[in-house]
Amino acid sequence: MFSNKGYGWKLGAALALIAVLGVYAARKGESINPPLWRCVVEPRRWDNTVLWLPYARVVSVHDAEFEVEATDAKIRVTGKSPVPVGGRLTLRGIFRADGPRIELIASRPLPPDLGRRRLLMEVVSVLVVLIVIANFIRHFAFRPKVLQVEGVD
Amino acid sequence: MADLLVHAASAYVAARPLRDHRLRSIVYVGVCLPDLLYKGLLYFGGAPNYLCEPTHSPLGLLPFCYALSLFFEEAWRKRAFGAMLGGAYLHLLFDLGKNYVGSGVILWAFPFSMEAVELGWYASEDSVTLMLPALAVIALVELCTDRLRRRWPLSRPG
Repeated sequence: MFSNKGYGWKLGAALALIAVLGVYAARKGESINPPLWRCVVEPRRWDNTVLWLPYARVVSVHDAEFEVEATDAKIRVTGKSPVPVGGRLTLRGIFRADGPRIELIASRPLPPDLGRRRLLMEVVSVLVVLIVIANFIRHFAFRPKVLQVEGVD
Repeated sequence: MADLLVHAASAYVAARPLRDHRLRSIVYVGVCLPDLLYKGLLYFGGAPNYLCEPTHSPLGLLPFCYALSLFFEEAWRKRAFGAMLGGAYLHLLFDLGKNYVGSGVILWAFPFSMEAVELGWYASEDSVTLMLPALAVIALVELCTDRLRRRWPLSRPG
């Protein structure tokens, strides 16, 4: 399995399997958690679909519902808002074609400094990747001079 | 790729006791691999989200690690595959604890099921508060390993 015999075929098969799995996942996942704008444009098609909005801003709050603005569309949400107007949250709910609206299942407020937190995490993560790759190269890079010196000994 | 420092710290704990520094370096690559593949496909490949999901599933990672292991010299491939997969699974284990308000994060049985699971222990954005503890863990492991090696040095033949 790991030998040089049929190397090209093995590598080709692995890459083909990766491609097939990716396409399969994309097709199967198309109907799972669709983007909000698609649901708003075709409400009947996505009626009763469970939606997850990773990021939304509360635009208005009423007694038993509130309105949120996600990155791609606005929608009413049935339920109690965990944050005041202008606050940010992530939520999961069932999309209903009448309205259209989202019936809230669960939500979590997002911190106001989310952007700064994400930026910090991304910068640190990039640094970690660079260090990990540098460490890997240090151990695996082909260094003829080192080999020559070791050969003398 | 939001919290790779925490993932790297987990790999450091798991791999630092390994004597072979080359094997260790592969585990560190492995623990970054799921996010590198995901973000690579998403941002550089312009792929839709779900196309990238196999990079965060136990079975979906197998062909990725196998293909990458084939780029090592023959004698190293099996070990490289194991180390890379071990690191990648450690990544999934830590991601499993994230909270996406119940929508799930790991397709645990992909390609047989598209069901995503999560434990909901911490929010993704809270990873920033885990950075300093992660650095402390790395320092502690380094200190302990150093002391242990001084007490029981590696015996060399001849």
